[in-house]
Amino acid sequence: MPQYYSRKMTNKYCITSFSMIGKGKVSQNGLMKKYAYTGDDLLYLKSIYKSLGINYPKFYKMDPLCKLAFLSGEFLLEGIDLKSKYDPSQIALVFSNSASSLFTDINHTNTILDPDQYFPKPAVFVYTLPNIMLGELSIRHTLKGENVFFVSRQFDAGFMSEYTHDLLNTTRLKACIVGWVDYLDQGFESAMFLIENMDAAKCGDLLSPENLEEKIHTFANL
Amino acid sequence: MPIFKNIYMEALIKKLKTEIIEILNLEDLEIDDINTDDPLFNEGLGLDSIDALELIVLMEKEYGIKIEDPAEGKKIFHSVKTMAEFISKNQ
Amino acid sequence: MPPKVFVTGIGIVSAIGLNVSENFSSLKSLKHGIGVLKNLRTIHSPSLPSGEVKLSNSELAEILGIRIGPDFSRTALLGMIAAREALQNAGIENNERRKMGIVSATSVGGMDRTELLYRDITPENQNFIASHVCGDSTEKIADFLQITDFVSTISTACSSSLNAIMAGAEMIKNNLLDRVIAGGSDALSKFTLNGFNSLMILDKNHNRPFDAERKGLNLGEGAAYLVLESENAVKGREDKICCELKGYANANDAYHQTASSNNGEGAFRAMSKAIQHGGLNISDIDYINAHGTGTINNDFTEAVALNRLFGKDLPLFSSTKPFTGHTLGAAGVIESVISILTLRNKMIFPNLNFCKPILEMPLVPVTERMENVPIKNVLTNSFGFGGNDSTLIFSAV
Repeated sequence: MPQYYSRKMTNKYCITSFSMIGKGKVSQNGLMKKYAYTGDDLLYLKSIYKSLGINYPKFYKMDPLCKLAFLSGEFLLEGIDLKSKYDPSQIALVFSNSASSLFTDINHTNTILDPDQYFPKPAVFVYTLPNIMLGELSIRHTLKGENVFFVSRQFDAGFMSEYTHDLLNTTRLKACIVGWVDYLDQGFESAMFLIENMDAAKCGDLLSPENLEEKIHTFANL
Repeated sequence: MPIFKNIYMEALIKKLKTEIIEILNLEDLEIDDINTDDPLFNEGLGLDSIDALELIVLMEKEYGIKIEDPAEGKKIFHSVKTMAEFISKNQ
Repeated sequence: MPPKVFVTGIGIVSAIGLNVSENFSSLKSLKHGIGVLKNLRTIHSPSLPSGEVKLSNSELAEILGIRIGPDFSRTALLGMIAAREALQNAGIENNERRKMGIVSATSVGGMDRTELLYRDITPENQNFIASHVCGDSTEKIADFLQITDFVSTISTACSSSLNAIMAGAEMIKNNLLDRVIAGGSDALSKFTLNGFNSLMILDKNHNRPFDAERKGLNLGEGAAYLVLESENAVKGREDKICCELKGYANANDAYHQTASSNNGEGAFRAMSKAIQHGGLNISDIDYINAHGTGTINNDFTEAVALNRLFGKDLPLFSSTKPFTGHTLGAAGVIESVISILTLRNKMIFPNLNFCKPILEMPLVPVTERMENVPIKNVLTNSFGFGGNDSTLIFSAV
């Protein structure tokens, strides 16, 4: 890893909430909830949606990647009223994944393969970009700040925490949702962290590569 | 004959409602939840521009009717009733 | 005080030229690159005019002086040509490139290879699979230019390459890197052509941004890169400074996956924040290179945002997409290079095909080439699906 990743970051930013979703398990701030996973991803995501008891029919239009991001966002922000704390333009989204929108890309490609059965679906095509999940989260939670999406082989805790730290330190952004949301039919995972500008004394978990990685590993080993 | 036309229209309307629910992923809805005369867009089911495009694909795929201009679609897709009338006129 | 960020090199390959000089020549002589698809073989060839780079993949490889296998996507090849030009332009010696990062953007990655080969995978061609992902084109460029310090890829639809430039600039301002080559590349593919066609936003004729009768966009392909340097890194090579990256911003429209809000909220926020970020006033902007895709939705909402922000003090503006087509992930940086050419040459390139303003928001773009225009600050917009809206401002030094 290039040397600047070990540079000391200021202790001003806090992980105030985090959520993770995997096969059969969901974690909300470290507390695990079990959800029955029987091999059908869409059914699994639907059952989680239903358990939340919210009314958001647009959920059903989303592709699996966006559904995963949406649900992760619901757990992340449950009981948190971002609107009362911040102006929408003060909340950023810094996300990454490894597969981009590959699952839906393949679906779209299949609709244009056969010249005799040629019916591309616009509702599928709109999801052939990984950053659409940022749009869905922004619409759901009214987030109008800066947003960026990186594609990398693995979750790069060093880069993501450093980038977020610098964003909060040098701009007018006051909060940031950091996310890793990856979906393929062989497997999926989602991890989201809410980072806020906070007094270190009140902060349980400072934003740092070690803290982000530790939470992800704990969840993976559950 | 009026009786046959009514039966035909009723069947078509029912078919359309089933197709709309399936194609637009309106999972929590049943056929009875969609009112034949209610606006589909904005109020009512709150469908959007991408849904309109999917309905255009449905028209071509299922009913063989090609709609070239998305603006034309707005009038045709006003309600399930107007969709059914359009289909029966153009098939 | 964070360091200033300067642009010291530019490189571009598009439907109107294979390098900066050719692109400038075409812009100056009003020669556009939109036409019948020749390289991409699709049933849509005759009916969907697009902005193709006028060379095959093997011809691109020849220019690069390399031999290629199935794992070299068109996206990577276009990117390598443009990135190489930018570095040469900046006059950075080979052994100095070690302290440099690359942030590259793409929306389609290696799709042009994948869609051709994946139904017929053989042991000889299967390495195309590794080149499908977005990050591959970045890595190919990094390898070709021997950049190892920092290699990253951004994918945020049509605003991707502006975001890559912004990310690179942020790293310089936070002293994480001294130099960054930032930009993006996207090749035409059946995937995107068919996808956009299903959204019914493609024009069967030449696109006409901001016009009342506009029917949609023409897709394009290409790549471009900027070499960004901190003011410290540039010491001793000040003659290479082309302009300053003065301000930038990104905002989310939070309205719809692919349409922009009726009051142009995201665009308005991105533009106003960028001006603020640059420490400028609205009256300091001399020219705007608009996103101006030619679609009903974008041009109306962008016009609304421009009107909200500038009112009767609207600067000269034009969309150059009738020249290049909409180059998706590369659009931001391609139009940044065009904006820099405007700044350098004091020349504004017109918004081709404009006849009548939009009824509901009648703004009139520049319709003739303008020369000897006093220009100090140029603003460029790129708005992407997912509500991702970005704006950059370049200033003369």
